[in-house]
Amino acid sequence: MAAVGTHEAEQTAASRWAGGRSPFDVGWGKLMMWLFLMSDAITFSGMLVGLWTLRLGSPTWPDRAHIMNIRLVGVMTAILICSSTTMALSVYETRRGARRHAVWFLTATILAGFAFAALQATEWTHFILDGARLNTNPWGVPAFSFTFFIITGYHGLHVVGGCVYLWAMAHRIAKGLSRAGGLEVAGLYWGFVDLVWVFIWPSIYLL
Amino acid sequence: MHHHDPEIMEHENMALPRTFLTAWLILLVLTAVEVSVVVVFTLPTALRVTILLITACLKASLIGAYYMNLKFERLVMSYIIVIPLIALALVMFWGVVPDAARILGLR
Repeated sequence: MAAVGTHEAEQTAASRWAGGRSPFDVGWGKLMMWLFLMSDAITFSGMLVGLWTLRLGSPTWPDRAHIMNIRLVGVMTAILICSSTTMALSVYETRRGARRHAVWFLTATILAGFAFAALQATEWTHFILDGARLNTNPWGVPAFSFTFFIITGYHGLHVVGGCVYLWAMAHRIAKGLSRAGGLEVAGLYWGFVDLVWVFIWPSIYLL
Repeated sequence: MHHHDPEIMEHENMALPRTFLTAWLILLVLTAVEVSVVVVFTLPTALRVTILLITACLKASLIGAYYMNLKFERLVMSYIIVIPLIALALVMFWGVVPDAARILGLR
């Protein structure tokens, strides 16, 4: 797809690797976002490996299917997937010059993000009312609620932060202040939020 | 990817939403599989874990390729991003699991 990367045919491999104007044929904004996402990915990896260390080192681990509403979290997962799709379509529409459509798709993405965060808040409320705290819970494995709150909380912050980011981008696209390249960078962030959930959701709820 | 023929680009552009919607449908189906192997079907643990790991990897690949545009970037970008993360996950897992298993008395 020519629209995503800006490829200049006359550019030689040497000049690409020299890191001139756009290393790897990627604009600086996109490259910086990827750099941030890589470091964020390492943070999430550390958290998930921490979870699995505690989990495998613990003689017992509570049965999530009895404590949590797996179907509800499945719906949350589906909502996040839908939001990634509307995000991608929004970038596509911006690139076509259809700003109105793009803003509608962005609005759908933001609403889906808030819906996810609201359902996550419901999950947390139930869990807390059941007696779960950061350092203790009724199921006798403190690490269980600790890892749950820290990992889903950190991810939830990413979702809410992403909604604010996309809100700002929707405003900028509507006013013509940002173009497709800027929205694509925001789309990378949103895709990452979905990508990380792909690993959090089986680790916390399913496995 | 490297051509600038307007006709082909137009065709590619129209194909793009279809690609996103196909990825969307596959992701939803994979999520339904994930939920069903836990909530609906009673499977042996090893089989359930295998299915969940495979579906997670498939979903991650789809999101990375189509929603994070890696499919449309230079291949070297994908390598730079994906290889270190997979290496990190494997090294940390290998470093950590034996210790955890020892605490548990499995080794």
